[in-house]
Amino acid sequence: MTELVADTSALVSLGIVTSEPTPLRLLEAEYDLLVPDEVYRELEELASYEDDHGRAATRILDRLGDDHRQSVELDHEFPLDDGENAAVSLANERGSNLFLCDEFNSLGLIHASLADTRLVTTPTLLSSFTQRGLLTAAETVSVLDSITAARSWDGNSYVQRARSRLETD
Amino acid sequence: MSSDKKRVQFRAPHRLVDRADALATVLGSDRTEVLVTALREYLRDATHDDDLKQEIAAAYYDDEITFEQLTELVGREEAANFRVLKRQLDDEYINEIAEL
Repeated sequence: MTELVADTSALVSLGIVTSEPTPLRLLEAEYDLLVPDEVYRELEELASYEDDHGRAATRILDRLGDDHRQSVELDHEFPLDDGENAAVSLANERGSNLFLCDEFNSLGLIHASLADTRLVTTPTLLSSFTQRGLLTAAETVSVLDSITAARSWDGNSYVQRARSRLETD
Repeated sequence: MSSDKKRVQFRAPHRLVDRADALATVLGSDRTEVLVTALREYLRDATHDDDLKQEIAAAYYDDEITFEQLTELVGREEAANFRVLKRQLDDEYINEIAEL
């Protein structure tokens, strides 16, 4: 199966949505999902908060078993936080197919740091779900709207473009 | 005039030009100096404005400006982020992901 390493940011985006079929369940069904221990710890920390992000983190943790976790050595040269650092290192170490990440402000650096792994953001992953017939375009738009509201993506022109593409499909 | 400078011509309200001239007198410089400084500061502030940065990114996604123009406006690091995001919008790229 296609292996996907996920960063905290994108898992939280997906975990926000509770309408069926939840994107989190689709992610788990379609991919071999892997997270480094650092991302797991970040999720545990987020889960202690009583807000949308905290609840999203709890939903993810409920679905992540031991087989989804992997320890990895950090690349200390890499100027990003521990979660992203560990996730990139894990994807490179394993030669994973996909790296899921929503840190839009660091994507240039992350992209440059990945060897053979394709980078994908949540809006693009959702578009690929639509392409595969797992979600209708209307369902994807509504999922993206929920995430946009929770993550304050309203003003982001990349997200706006991704959304309008789905509407014209 | 050095070769890295470009001559431009534009119309501006009288009052604005008069104020620029007055300020040039106070500073002991000239109109060009005042206008260039004002333009430089405006561009610097504008490209630090998040909303405007998103407008710039949108123009790049829609192929209204080139990657080089984008880099001139927002700097290398930010431009690299927008380039990756533009690729995320590419139909072919989404198809590739969907086929994995």
